Amino acid sequence: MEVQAAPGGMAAAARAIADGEITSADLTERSIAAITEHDRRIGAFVVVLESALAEARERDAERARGVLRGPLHGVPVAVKDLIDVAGAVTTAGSPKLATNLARSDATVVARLRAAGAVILGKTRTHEFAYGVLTPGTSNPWDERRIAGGSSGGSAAAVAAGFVPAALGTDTAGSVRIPAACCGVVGFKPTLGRVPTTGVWPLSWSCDTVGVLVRGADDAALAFAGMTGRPVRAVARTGTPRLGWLVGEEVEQVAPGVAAALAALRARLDGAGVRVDDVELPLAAARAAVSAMVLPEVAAAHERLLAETGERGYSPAMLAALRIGQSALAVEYLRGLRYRGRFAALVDGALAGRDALVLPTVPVPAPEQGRSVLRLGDRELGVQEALTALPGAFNCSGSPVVSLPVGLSDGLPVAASLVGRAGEDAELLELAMAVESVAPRIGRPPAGTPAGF
Amino acid sequence: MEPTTLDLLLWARLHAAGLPVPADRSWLWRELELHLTRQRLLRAATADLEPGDPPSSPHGVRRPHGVGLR
Repeated sequence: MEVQAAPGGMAAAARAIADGEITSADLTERSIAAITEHDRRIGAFVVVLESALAEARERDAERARGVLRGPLHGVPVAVKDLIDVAGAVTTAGSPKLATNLARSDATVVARLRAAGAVILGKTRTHEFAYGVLTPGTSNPWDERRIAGGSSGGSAAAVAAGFVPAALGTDTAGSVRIPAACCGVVGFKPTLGRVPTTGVWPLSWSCDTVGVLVRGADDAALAFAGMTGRPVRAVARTGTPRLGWLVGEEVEQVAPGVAAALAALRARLDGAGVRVDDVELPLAAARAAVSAMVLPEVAAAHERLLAETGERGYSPAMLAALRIGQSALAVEYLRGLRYRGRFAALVDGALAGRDALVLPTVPVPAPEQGRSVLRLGDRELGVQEALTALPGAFNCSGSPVVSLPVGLSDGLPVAASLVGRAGEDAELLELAMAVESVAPRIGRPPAGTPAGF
Repeated sequence: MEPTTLDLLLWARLHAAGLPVPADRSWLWRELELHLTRQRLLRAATADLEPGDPPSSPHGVRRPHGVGLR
């Protein structure tokens, strides 16, 4: 079947529908056709919802009556299979939840529908969102490499052009890591800005619902849908000032990542952006996140583990549960106490600056099957290596947007912009400005002609 | 084979939590080792917090206010 190109990006698709240039049903049919034709290779989706096309036709009928629900009217959106969609099973990537039928939408899904979005399907996640590999999903840039995780299916779906946006969740980098690996934009809002009701928990203290899209403008549009508030225009005055994170953790990165970040800094300098160096104790912040996550995931799984036993958990997940169950209360409290200190340090680093910049992950997407990575003189597990930088900002709860900023041997490299807690709109506005300065990485060679 | 310190620590933690020690402990060793490494870092990073510096909660991040020892 010949798959026709759709308008690029979420904002363009929403405009085309609102202007009557295309129908929601057409867009949804193109998405479904592209998934049918290409997703056998990528493995981004666990299910395409039978209700999607009917939902799209309803949006078209509403538009014909002059009703536009909101800024996402008629746009197909995918949802990570950790988040409830009424009438669909939420497996959380585990055979243990194979029959876990959701009776109602998660709050964020209900908000997207209220903004007009069509819920197209559910995307693959690493088991219970605890991991960065997302087995079963390949990276559209190179199918021998991981898509990242845990929101790997969502990132691959956007990178492959199946959908213009997909929801993800982020507890220690799970939106930003796959965004970086797959060359798309990943946005983790401020902790607590988007409700987690109806999302299978990994950590009550750190879980954040985020989104994967093609550009920062689409992230702002999606964020409006996720919060149920209009896109807020931010009037930027003066030259932006950025803090460039330096120190041991951010300097132990692959040469291609260091080169792409250096090139970005040179472009920002050339554009008149004021950039200076700052340091933050990222390793301690990442350690605090782990101190919070392990006991919380153990507590969240206590009933499931008691009722269904160990069978169906991977050894890695079971190990996390057992170490979490046996963690000492004082270890958990150290994490909870350190987060206030780190948040204050981030506030201090942002004083007089608009955002902080660092590599999203230290390496381009690793090969599938690889269990360890060498960074400088250290050998680290893949999960430890990929969460080291993004995980720190789940400690502070800061909003962070990851942008593709270059290629290294044909694979995407990304930089993260960290903003002030609560100033999500300001951060996204700045991200649009940085995006306009950064090199365009183009589309993956395995990208489909669906073209979102 | 003699048990290592990590074996004993793992056994003690699992025993205290009322949990069985599985036959294949390789994943548990890995997770515990990482947990202990991170805890060492965190212990150093929190060593100078004041008694009045509170923990945050899942509902929000609480900045330290330093009430207590001076």
